[in-house]
Amino acid sequence: MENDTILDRAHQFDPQALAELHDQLYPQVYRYLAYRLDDPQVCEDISSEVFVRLLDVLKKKVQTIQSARAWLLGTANHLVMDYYRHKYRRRTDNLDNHDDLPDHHTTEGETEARMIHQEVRNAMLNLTVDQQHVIALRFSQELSLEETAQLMGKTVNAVKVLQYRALAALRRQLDRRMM
Amino acid sequence: MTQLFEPYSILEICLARLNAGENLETVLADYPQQAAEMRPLLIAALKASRSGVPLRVPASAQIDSRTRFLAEAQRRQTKPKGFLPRFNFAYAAIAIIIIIFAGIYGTGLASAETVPGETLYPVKRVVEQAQLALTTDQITRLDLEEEFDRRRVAEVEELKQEGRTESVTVAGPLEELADLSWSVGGVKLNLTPDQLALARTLLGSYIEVKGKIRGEEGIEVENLELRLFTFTGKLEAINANEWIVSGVKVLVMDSTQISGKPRIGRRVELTTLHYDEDYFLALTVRVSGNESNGAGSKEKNKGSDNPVETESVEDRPENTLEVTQTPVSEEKDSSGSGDSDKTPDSDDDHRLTETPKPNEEHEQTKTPD
Repeated sequence: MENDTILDRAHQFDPQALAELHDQLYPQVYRYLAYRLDDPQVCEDISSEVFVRLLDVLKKKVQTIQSARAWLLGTANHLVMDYYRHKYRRRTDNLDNHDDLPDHHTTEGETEARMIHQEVRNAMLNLTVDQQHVIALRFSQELSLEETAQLMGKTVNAVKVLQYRALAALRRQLDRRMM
Repeated sequence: MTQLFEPYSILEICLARLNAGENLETVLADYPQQAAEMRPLLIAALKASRSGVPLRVPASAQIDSRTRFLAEAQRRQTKPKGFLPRFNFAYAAIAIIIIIFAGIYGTGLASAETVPGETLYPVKRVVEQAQLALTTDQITRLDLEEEFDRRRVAEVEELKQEGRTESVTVAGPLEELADLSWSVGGVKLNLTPDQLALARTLLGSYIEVKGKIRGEEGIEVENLELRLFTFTGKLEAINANEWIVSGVKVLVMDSTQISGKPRIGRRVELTTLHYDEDYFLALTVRVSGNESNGAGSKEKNKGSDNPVETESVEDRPENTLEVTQTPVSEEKDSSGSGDSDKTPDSDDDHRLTETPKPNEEHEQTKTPD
């Protein structure tokens, strides 16, 4: 199906079009959330929640696949913030919980990468909403500057400045944690 | 061309080169003047980039999410459309209240996790009432009522875990557990001997219990009644004693009080008990329309196999029916007895005898649903 037809039919809640829309965008949403969250279960829950919420704005706000993606990732960002703000934050640093680990062996390098990433996640929590979003967008799926700008509804220059400040803030937070 | 040399653009160029696999030092060597400024940023960027952490998207998660997505889409599509035509002042008032609260508290969700005794709790109840008022599909509405009943139970569970004492009302099927204790929806009940005798006659019924939750001890029961569900709908079919009212299956017994002449297509007002998964048992049926003045057509058949007497139900505005069988419905300290207001009244004696339970992990298994 052409993307435009998918959306036209998705607006009518045509199940097949909705399923296609979902499957086309789910991996990006999931990866974005997996970047932000350490608990795979929470990651799945929020991914699913983001899509359900999309249904309420589909007709009004989503005219292109791009705008659907922007809306989903933006909402994912806010739900992640809500999640961390909430009291029910559970500690799940336990490696056993990670479904996305390869089933065979975990190399030392992977474990270390995981620990570093957890550190980055925690450090990110002290950044502003946009700063967190820009870092996750650029590093969770290696989006280009232009794509990031489009997703965030900003100019390319604005995103350059934003990512500079975001990385500077991230570095400060990481340094503080190293102390 | 000054733009090229500003630090923001240099950073972007460096990031692109790192991403392409170049070495940090090689990249920095091309910007000797900015190297000191760029180095820490690029190190942070390297840490933040996911490379090295493999990530696959679990297929099962995607399928689950798709299933839920489609189910929700269907649910939204089949929502009753009667909302706008039936819009009236009451709905408008409810909507305004919600908007005001939603404005004050950021999102209406702020109240979603509150439990009795907390500031936002009344908001939650108002929102629920609004939801009920706005649902015109009878099956959905009854489902919703039961959904709210389950919420009450979940709230009580939370209060129990926190060891708090609050006035609560819960509803659900009455069960006797293996250890001979009694429960509603899994919440333990503390019954007096008289209440116990009553409970035995109501075993398995969908009941409503008012009382005080006292931590692990469960609910100190003040009042125990059958839970009534009232609704109005169109009479769609009559097959012997099984009626279909706006899609809801209703059992009509000899003991059911019927006022007016029931005919297909008429609007009927029902007071029912939750009989089982599929059926509601009608206690009273009121047929609206010209012939429904109720004169003469009232059938009453006390006794038989119906454990509940239904005489006065019609005139009651409330949702609950007190069981007037022997032994009489049990009320501990007369305060608030018989008043069937559904909000847990903040009683005068708010004893704060909390049983502190520091070790109890506050396990929060709720996922945003």
